Amino acid sequence: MTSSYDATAAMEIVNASAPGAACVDDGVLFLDPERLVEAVRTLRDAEASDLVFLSNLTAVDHELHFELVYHLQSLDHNHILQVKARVADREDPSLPSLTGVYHGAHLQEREVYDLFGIRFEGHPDLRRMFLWDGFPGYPLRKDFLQMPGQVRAGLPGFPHESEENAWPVPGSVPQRPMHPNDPQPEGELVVAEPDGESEESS
Amino acid sequence: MTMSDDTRLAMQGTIEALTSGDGSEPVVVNLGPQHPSTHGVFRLKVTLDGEIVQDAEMRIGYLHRSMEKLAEERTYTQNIPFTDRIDYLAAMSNNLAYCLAAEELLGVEVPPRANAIRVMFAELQRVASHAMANGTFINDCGAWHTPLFHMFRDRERVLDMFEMTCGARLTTNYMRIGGVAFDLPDELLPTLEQFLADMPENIANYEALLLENEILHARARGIGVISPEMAINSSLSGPVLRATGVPWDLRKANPYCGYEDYEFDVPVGEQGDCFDRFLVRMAEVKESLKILRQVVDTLPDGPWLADVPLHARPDPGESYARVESPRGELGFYLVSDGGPAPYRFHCRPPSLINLTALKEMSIGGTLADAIVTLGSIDIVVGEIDR
Amino acid sequence: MTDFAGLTSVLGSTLGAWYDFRDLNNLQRLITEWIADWGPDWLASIIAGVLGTLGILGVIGPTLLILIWVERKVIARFQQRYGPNRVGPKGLLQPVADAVKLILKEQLAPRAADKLIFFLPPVLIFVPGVLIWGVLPFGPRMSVADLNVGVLFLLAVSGTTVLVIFMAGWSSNNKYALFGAMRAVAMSISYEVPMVLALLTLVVFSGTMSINGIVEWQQQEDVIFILLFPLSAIAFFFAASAELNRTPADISEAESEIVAGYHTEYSGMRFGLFYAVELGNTLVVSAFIATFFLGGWWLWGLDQWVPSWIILLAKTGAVYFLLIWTRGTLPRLRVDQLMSFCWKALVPATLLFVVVAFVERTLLISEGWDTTVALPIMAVFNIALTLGAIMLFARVSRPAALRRPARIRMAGTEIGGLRAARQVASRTEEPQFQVGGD
Repeated sequence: MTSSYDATAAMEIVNASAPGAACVDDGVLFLDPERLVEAVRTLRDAEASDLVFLSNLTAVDHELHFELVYHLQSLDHNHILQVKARVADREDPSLPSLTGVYHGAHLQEREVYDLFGIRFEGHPDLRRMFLWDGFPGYPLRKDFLQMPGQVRAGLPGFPHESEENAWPVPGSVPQRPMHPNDPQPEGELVVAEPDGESEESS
Repeated sequence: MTMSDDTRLAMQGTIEALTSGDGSEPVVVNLGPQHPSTHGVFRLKVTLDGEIVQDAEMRIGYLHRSMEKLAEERTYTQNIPFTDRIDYLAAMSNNLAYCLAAEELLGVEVPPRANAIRVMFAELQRVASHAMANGTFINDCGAWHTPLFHMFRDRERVLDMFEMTCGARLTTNYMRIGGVAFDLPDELLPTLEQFLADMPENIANYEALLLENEILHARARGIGVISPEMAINSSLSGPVLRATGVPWDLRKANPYCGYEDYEFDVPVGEQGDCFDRFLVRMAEVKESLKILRQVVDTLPDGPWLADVPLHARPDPGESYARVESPRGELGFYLVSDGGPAPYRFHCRPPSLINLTALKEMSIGGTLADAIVTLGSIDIVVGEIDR
Repeated sequence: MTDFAGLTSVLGSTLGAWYDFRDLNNLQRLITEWIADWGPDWLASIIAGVLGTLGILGVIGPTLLILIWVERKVIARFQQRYGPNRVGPKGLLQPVADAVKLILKEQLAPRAADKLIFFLPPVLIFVPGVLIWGVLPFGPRMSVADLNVGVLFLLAVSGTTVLVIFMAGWSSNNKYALFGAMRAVAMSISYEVPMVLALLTLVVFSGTMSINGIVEWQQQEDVIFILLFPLSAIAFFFAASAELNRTPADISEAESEIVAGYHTEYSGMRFGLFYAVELGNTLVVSAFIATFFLGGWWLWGLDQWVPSWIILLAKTGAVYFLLIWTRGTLPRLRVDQLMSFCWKALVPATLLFVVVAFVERTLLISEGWDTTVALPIMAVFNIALTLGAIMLFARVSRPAALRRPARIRMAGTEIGGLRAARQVASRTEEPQFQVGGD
């Protein structure tokens, strides 16, 4: 079973060679973006941590800052460590690239650049990957295509929880005017009742 | 006939090329987005000196459907169908990986029968996916579809089993958070028994046809070689990594769904070339059949779906769950802010990351070798682009 | 170029009546003799030539349609499919439906293509494809032109195809097409050499360059050439399948690499013509393999009872099936592998057999050995030599990468990274399975 590598132990390894580059907050190892490459290289090469495999690299937009999430894996010791780094600048976020340490970061960093707009300094080929050059905005940011009227990305709640979230009930949406060519309903139009009456009868 | 401008320009270019240096200039060829061996809308831009590849650059995004963004506006259950469409050749594995991540976030305990059914379908999916991968790989080596069609016969039977269980063949949408959507139908186990009984003979046929084929050896041995060190550094996973000799399989390293209860082995290659990847896949199919045999023999009774509220709001937090999909390490990283939909939904796509080393593998070989290398990595464009 | 020697000999022949279908020329002779009664000789010759040409076109047109069906059906059976079975009885009309579709399709030309040269190849490629039938002997006197240098004519005509292919590939202004054309040229030129040498063996040994003469030599000596010179037969078969762009040597239209090679840009019936000629060439090459190495229209006396052209067709069918079989089974070789196989294996081997044929011919003619005794001994010797040459080649020419077997080991309990990999690799017991190697 893959165990979680102790963040405090990892912090000690990093801080031994680069003092102050790592800190632990709530069991998660945070690295100083300035010294990210040095710290990660230490973690990769240290015998105890041996985090040779970059399992996953992605970013999360926390609105006030971007959080880069790295999942580093040691194959021989079979433990995994989650490493995070924060970028506060939303205008021109940038971070050193890990491609020098892990070649596997190449495409994943390009993906993050494409969808979040975070530049990775030192990346050999930082271009948009899925979207075309000149695509306006970075789609995975929470403020991408923010709608007027405080409509935001994401799901505010479940439909049954409040009136605002409710899916339209049949019959509640104003019908478009009947066109003469539309098939005329025979007899009386039956609209399903939203309340419990019809359920009882069935 | 007067000389057109195009012709004059072309002639000028030729003359310049002939008078400068070695008298040749590289040719840039776009393989794709519509090409018989890019397995979808994938574009490989190769720079060729004669037939020798000098540079290979991939251009992707033709199938980008922004699933990670869409998933942020749908509930955890509503996101399951998206995962089918990520890797449409291994929908079950994708369902499974996502459900594992969501279950980790919600703290759900999965009943044992559901776990056994999940293992059964994940392994059936592996058999189907490897049949496709090996068949198209031989096609990329230039065979006239014969091994492909033979292997499709097995895949077809697996898809029939999917259909009788959940009504869909490719985009199965079968796994649920906390188990699977339906119990096994009565006719599934006899069909699976028959399938398990027939497969050894079929595999023996493929091995007789392909393993000692000198042309296949000549085409695939020593092509697209990558060292284990480079493979690990490039985050390669799955058969591509195992072909280099690194015995890394998440089913063993980090067992999920009760894989630790089944006896199976992890085949590894030696050279890390295209032929080893092919052999590893062939051997993995046999191991999958072993697992399937054990699952059928020890299938527990009981509920197949835990009692999970459909409208679940997980506590704020994050989870990263990985499975060994047919293509490699497939992970889902979910972040919850306590809302009904994931705050962040990220898929670690093995197809995309396995392509990291494509350039290194193909430079120096011929155009035909690059095609074989691409075929041996076994990409699914839906997963690359998401 | 056309020589009517064969036809005039037909005119003078006195085989059976016109309804004797063992020789289809009887009917034609009847007509030409009737014309010769009242008209000038040259008119009879011209009419005879036209009739022969019409006969050949009348044979290959329908045969091609049936062949498409046969090939698709046979390949489908290899692949556990049904193949075409919807249009007409057993799908027999499928090729007709395909042809109608192709004719009705719009014919596109790339804007940057060299229009004139782009339009010519589909037409030009028909010329060698039809001309080559002219020297094929369907029976003792059944060839349009029984040239005394038929072998030369055959090689010369088949060699021109590559020029047309190059025109098609170059004028399309498409990189795939250009690659296909360049590969076709390189391969054609290379494989002509073993082809010529393989035929040279027969020419040296039988002492004639007439194709009918080679068949008659086999008839006279009661032996077919595949038994005497098996390596030449194998080399000719492989070289022919390379010239025909069929797997395992279909690099010039390698679908998985360069889409459709030189005819990538051709659509509609233009593509259809390429396709038809390719099939026709496959058929005629099968027929020539049957003629040179399997005795052609002769089959140990059976040709006295069964029409000779049916015997030839049966043998052609057998060779054609072999071609379909290899196509349905084998993957494709790479360009450089094909080239080195040609120059390093086929050329020396066929050259060796030219020498062998020369020596054996000298023994037969100058030393006056008795053929009934000498030929079986020579056949056994040559077969042994062939097997030896093939085994020697397989041993010597194998690339280093293929000499080690490919091994698959089982990791067992060792799961991990490089350290585990080293431990798995250092195990001394036999790996789970290994394939290939010496």
